[in-house]
Amino acid sequence: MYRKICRALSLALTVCLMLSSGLPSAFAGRDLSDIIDLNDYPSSISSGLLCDRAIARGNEAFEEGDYETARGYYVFALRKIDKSATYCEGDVCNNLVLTLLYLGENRTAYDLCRYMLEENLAPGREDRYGYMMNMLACAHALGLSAAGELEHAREEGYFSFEDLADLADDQPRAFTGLLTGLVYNVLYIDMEGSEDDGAASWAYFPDDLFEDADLEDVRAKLSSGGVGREEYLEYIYEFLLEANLWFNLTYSADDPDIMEMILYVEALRDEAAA
Amino acid sequence: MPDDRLSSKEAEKKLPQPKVYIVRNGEAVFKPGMKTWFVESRKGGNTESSGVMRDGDGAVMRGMVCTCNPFCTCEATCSCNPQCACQPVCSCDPVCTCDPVCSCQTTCTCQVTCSCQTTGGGYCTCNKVCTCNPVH
Repeated sequence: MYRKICRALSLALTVCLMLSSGLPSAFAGRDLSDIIDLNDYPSSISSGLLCDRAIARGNEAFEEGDYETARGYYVFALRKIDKSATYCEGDVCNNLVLTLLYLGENRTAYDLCRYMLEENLAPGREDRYGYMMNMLACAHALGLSAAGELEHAREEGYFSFEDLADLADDQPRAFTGLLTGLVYNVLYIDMEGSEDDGAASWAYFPDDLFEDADLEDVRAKLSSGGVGREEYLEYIYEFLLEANLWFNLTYSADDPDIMEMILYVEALRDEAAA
Repeated sequence: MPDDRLSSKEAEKKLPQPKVYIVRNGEAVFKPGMKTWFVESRKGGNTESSGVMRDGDGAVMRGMVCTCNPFCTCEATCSCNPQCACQPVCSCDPVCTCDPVCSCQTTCTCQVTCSCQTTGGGYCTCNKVCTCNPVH
């Protein structure tokens, strides 16, 4: 309870600071058509096709790996969506982001994520965190750092690990996978970057994110410099173990992606030690 | 460092999963990718509304069946053009209400085919009927 009160006060303070500083969103006043050409879909798609059917066909094409076709249906669906059907727009934009990533349209995918997060999605929705997960994938594709994305998210107020951890406390089955998934993505990007990147990213994990992880100590060591590659990978490794433990507590199973990454980091660590 | 970034993928019809390995103690270890979030098609959203009257054999006598876009509130208006010269009675008075999120104008066209059984006073059986096409 105490932690929640502190976080609520901290969030209120952040919002007040943001309001007083009048931080402009990069996408204020823009709409989807500024980011992606909504006329760019095949003429073979019948104009009478309903929005939800177009999304379903886009999803089928995506799952078959036919990303060009999926893109066409998703763009078409976006044109059909009534402004009030926000969740529908949320769904189709999300899947369009992934499709664009597979097609190598990384900048458009990234901008679409940012637009949805900054302008379109209400707080506390699962898909907001799904977008954040995808945006980290976009950022990685563009060679951006996780720390930069987390800082921007904090400035704009659309994501923090504190908020997500609170949601996972209250609704573990809905949000734990998203929480550990986002931790995974941040660590993944950091793993490929330098120890400095990692030190910056880890500042955004709350101390009590996972009970047994001593993040304060790790942060202090990383920010003091002089941590070797092997030791740095060890921190990532330990944190992944904690993330998987939390995942397992909620879903009674290991997270297969985290387990893959644990194996991989083990191998990298051995390589660094050799 | 091996690179499995999505940016390096070609826009092929079917992309292979990235397969990047490092070798550890003589064994290749698969390099995982980043996690992504995909929204599956919402299921069970379609609503079927009916205002159907059936005769004793289960055949539709009058009415309509609408299948609606779950995101729409439909106000269906039907016009009935029975190709039937028998006396009574073929009327469509459909109401089609689906779960609302957006509102749309729906037009229904009713193509009624009637078969009349004139014995016993005659009535008109409408088979199959009405399709709602929500227009956004």
